[in-house]
Amino acid sequence: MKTKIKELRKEKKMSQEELANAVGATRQTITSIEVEKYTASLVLAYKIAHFFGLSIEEVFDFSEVEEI
Amino acid sequence: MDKMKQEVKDKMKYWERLCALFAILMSTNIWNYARTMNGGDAFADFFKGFQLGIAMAFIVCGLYQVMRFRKILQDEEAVRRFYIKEHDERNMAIWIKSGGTVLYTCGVLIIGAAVVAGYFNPIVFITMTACGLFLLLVKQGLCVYYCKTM
Repeated sequence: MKTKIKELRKEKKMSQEELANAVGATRQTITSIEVEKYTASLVLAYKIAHFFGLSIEEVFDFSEVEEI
Repeated sequence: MDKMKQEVKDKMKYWERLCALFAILMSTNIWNYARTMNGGDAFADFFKGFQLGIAMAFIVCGLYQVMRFRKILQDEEAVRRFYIKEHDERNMAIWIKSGGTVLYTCGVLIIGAAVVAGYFNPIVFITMTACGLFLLLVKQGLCVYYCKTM
């Protein structure tokens, strides 16, 4: 899933490690989410969005989610 | 923070108990090892050596873990880092996807059963030990694979 985490992080001049510490995840998890290898859970997505002061939809791109 | 510290303490207690258990098992059986080391048949020697090796490995690993947890408990930042690593959702997903619980439990139980079977039949002992080690190896391999792909 595409995300804006990298851009938002760069705007705030934060490292992956700092973001990971702020949301209670490991740096590897943030890396995997950024490179679209791993899709964050609802709770982690909420924490990340909340950290940047945005809604989940503003951080995560749901346009490619398949509709059933 | 108290919850995090308690989790580290619980894990430390678990390893302390495991160490104590294997130390007791080893000390109660030590005369048996010494007796069969001289003049016992080849398999008896090998089997006793294997048992002793397993017990010593658990004790050494246990002591290392206890020392590691003691060091973590002295630093609040280390406790926090440990808690995050333990509860990280990607790590949990990798563990689940690689069948960690099933493969690890089966592997350890099969090796435990192999030790019991070793008293009756050398072939069963070697086969079960190889099977248990293979399961643990598969689990580790899958963990590494999913770490790279997830």
